[in-house]
Amino acid sequence: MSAQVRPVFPFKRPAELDGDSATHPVLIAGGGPVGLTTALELAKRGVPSVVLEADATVAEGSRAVCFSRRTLEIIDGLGAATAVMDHGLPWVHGTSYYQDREVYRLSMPHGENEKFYPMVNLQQYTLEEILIDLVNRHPLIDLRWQSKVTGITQDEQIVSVAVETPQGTYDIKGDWLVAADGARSTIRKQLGLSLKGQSYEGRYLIADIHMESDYPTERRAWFDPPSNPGATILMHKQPGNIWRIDYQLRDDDDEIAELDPKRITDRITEHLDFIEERAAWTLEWSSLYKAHCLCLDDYRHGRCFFAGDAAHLVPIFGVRGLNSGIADANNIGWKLAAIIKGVAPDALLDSYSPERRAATLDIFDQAGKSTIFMTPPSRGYEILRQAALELAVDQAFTRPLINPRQSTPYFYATPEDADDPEFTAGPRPGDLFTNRHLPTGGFLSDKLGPGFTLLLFGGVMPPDLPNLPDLTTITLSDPQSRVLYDAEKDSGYLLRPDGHVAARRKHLPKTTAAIDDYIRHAIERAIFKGIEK
Amino acid sequence: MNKPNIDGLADGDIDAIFETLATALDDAGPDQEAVFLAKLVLLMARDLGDLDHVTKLIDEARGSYGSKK
Repeated sequence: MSAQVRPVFPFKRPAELDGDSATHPVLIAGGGPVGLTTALELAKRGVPSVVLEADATVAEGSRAVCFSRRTLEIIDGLGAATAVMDHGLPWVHGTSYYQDREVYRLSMPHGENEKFYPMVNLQQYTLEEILIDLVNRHPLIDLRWQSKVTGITQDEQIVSVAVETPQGTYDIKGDWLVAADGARSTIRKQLGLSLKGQSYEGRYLIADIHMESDYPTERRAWFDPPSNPGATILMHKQPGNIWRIDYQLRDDDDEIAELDPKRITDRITEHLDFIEERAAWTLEWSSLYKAHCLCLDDYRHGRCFFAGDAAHLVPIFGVRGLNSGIADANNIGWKLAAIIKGVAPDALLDSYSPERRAATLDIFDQAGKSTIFMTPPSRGYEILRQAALELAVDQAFTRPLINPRQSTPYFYATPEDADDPEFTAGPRPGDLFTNRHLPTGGFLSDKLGPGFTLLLFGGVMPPDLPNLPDLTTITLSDPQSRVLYDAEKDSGYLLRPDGHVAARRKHLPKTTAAIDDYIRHAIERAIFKGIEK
Repeated sequence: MNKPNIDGLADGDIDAIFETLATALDDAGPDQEAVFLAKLVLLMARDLGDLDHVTKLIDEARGSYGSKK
């Protein structure tokens, strides 16, 4: 039992086809992982949404395979991480080879305070099925299959999209629209917007094979292996005895000929022989891939927000594609919920594009370097790569060039006065919170609220702020928590709803009234001035 | 070892370097000579330990190559 069985989700006739013209708070175009995560982030905060998905099923083939710790933390907040961990394969290490010699050993940070492994491998369609299951059980989410968004109109008050279904077309209205409709986004095209940036020349054939092997889960990369001279090969293990193999095509390889299953089988056989995998195997899925660093100039267009591949296409090297899309969903989710619930002004939404676009540009920088090393774009880069790889066999100093620079959480620019110069360590404003395995059991990440969270360290009474219903207070009174946060007993950290530090203070004021003022001011700064230019 | 030293080469050293490098280039052959030189530069950069200095030397080498053109 190996081939993917794709479920078929039925079309259900919506009220709009019978004349309903209600305005929904949020419309989401695209029922992939980014759209579904956005819907769950909103629902978690009490905001309903309508998700419009063109297809009747999940993605075909493994597609995104590696989910980062940050992605797991985000979907854990939505109730999806347990199922992902039940199915997924966690990993920490990787090995890179030059020809047949090991030249780099990847070891990602991992420790007792982390709830999740740095990476977990899982087929994208399994993640989708897990999210769909959660969405279907949530009364606030209306997920509509076989409902293709074909057009968009908007003014200052409202956005309206045209939807094509098996039973006819209808228009549906919303206060806001999240366009998570993928790399070939219809909404992007309808609005006349285009992705800008750079595309790389190197092409990769990506294939899933079914093969029984007890080789552990890790990332393996071969540069110029005997099985594929001059090219680069990547290999990742997935659940269900599925292995993902990505191999670089040479410049003179013909695409049509290379996509022939017989040709793919021959090339993979050569590689499996070389690494001494002897078990019988079958080809499950294959696709052609080219690296891009492309994004929109602005992820907001009026009342429409672009997220995931609709907003940006990034190279696969470093596993940032879907992981950055999930971070987009996390970011727009809490912000839309905050303004719809009336706890933040519309201006908060202005911070979505600067924050997430800056994260994309950082990915371009990191993944661009990886791409150039994985697929040298010119003879000069090719010569230098070979020189660096040959030296790396015995020399440590060129090995950082081989580091795949795996996805890490992004730092959001934050006003300087949100920080306190008395801190010399701990997460800075803009950084993600630091997780902690609590002495009482569980993790700090389990306790973060859907709104802002105030972290106290044992010397200050939790404030009484009835007019800030969105505030969760957590007291970490053990010494190790204070070390992680460079905190004194009277320190305080304010976390945004996405877990990024909004502000921190080494010594909170002495009186409850003054603490209240500080928190209120810090929240206001975070929701009014989320952007620091 | 970390700082450039123009007086560091004794009389005749440049002759020895010239000879050794020419022989090594011949040994590398047309297929490998560029990779060999790149490795040599990376190793010398490691011992020099100074990004600005390495960049300046690359520019210097590029300059004299350019003037010949």
